[in-house]
Amino acid sequence: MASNSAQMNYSSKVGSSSATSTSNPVKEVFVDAMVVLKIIKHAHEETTDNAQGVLLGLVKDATLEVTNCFAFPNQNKPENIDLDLDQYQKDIIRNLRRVNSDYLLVGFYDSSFNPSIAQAMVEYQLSSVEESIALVYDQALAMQGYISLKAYRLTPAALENLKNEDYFSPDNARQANLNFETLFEELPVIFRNSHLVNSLLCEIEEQTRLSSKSNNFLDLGTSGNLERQLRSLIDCVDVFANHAARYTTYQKQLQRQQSRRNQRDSNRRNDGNDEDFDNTTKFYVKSRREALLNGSQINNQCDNITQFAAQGLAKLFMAQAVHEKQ
Amino acid sequence: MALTLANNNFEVNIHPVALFNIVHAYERRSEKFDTILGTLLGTRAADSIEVFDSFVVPHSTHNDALYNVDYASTMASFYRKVNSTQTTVGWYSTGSDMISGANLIHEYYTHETRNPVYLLVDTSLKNDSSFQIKAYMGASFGIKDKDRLKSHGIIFTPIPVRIVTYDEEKAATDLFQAGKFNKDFQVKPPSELDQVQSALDKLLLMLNYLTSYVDGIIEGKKPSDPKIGRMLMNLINTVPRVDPKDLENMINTSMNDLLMIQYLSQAVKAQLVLNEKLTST
Repeated sequence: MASNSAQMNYSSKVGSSSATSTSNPVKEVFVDAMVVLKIIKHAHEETTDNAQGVLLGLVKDATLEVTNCFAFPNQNKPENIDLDLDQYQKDIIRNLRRVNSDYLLVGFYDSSFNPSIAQAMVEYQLSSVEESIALVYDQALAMQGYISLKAYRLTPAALENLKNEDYFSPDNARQANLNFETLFEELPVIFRNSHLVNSLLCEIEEQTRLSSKSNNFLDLGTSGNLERQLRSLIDCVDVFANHAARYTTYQKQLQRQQSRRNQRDSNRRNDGNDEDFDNTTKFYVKSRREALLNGSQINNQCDNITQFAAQGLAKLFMAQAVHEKQ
Repeated sequence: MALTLANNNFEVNIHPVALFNIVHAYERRSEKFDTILGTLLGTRAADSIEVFDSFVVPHSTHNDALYNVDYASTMASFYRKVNSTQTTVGWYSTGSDMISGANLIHEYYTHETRNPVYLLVDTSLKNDSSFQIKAYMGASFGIKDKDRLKSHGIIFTPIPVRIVTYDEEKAATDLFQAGKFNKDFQVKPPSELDQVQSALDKLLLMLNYLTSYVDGIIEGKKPSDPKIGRMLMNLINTVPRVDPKDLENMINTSMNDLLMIQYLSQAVKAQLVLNEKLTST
């Protein structure tokens, strides 16, 4: 994943920089049906890693319309290792432009929520389209019939702070009033189709009516999905504990240095001696950015689990009601 | 060759993605074109072709249709990088009838793949205003002289088309169906409890239909069909017969599990907030 996010740091030189002002931010995201199906297809076929790709579209008034997308080849496959993603992207966009498709990069999609998307988001939002979004699609849930597609965007405060790649000290975080909740904001996603697409939908409905297996959704066996989510939550909580421990050691060291400095000052007053305490070791504090991202990931996962559990409970109550009648 | 094709039960299975791609490209075509052409990507089995994706290829209509072969091959190579199992399996055009240069284009595609399929998607909705999707296999016929200079034609035989979906695709297309009746043609992805409710509604609908059918037969209004009767028997037998106490136990334990997990996740969240408070002051 690190390699993928590292490769995503390019500014979109294609596409003119529209005069989008942050005073009129995008409030909703319209997604075309085709984009959703393409994402689903890519996620279905990409079995080993996450499915990632770029979204194309345009910004109109207060909405961001996503009208097309294309997928990135999996870089972990041996034949794709020396693929230049920049070039690949440029070529595809050039080709799409020739057939009158929209070519403005408005974001990217990923089939799981991991914190490295925050770094990629910075690049996108700094480029021509400020309202770029990240679409997160959960594939395992979709196998059960529940299409979960969420659009995230970095808040302006987060963008400011993540812009400088440097050191993100705790003081910075405090100043910016940035905590894990204000890192991402979620935008409502609406599916909207044109008339011709709707007529195609009618045709598809006629032909596929009998092959519907949508009753998978009422399956009470939720343990598989739940286990997977819990496992990733456990991993995140481990990392979180790590960060917390490191932060407490940092605070202790800070205190120690503070007390030493106080002592040195009092010593100086007593002795007139100027001991060399200034070369106290600069202790290493990890940039708070990772802790922040980790926090937001945990938050997101907890929300997902709560939602999932709520669904499971509803189904169980139903099953109970049905069996009580007998 | 035409005879052997007529004996095979060749089928084309299309995923909705390919069709949506076609409609998308059709909506964005430049004004001088009435139809668009493009490549179909997919996999080929012994007696069927599965079409997974498609992309449009620019062409120009002077007297013959000039097809941009370079574009087609570069785009196909890009798609192959993403998924190496899907290759070119045919081509498509929109419109109510086959285009005039079809045989030339078909010949090009026979160089790319063995038995390309030609898909005709009627986007003009002319024939009884339905979206007609037809597929053809080509076989060359005609008198071949030794120089092969005389043009021999290609006869296209129709083959059946079916639309197939993955489970998730089916769920997504079902979701979009609701958007047809909305006044703005918009549909939101439903919240989790809404989804449970809509799944329940569907189940209830089907059960009502079945019970009304059975009632009709009992009252003698409808003719009974032994095949359907047997299927109903199978259906009822698949409901597991569990001791009510065991069932109660199972349901209770599952509920306990879920409640515990919800509690734990809330606890994790609370700890997160607490940590945030501690580290920011």
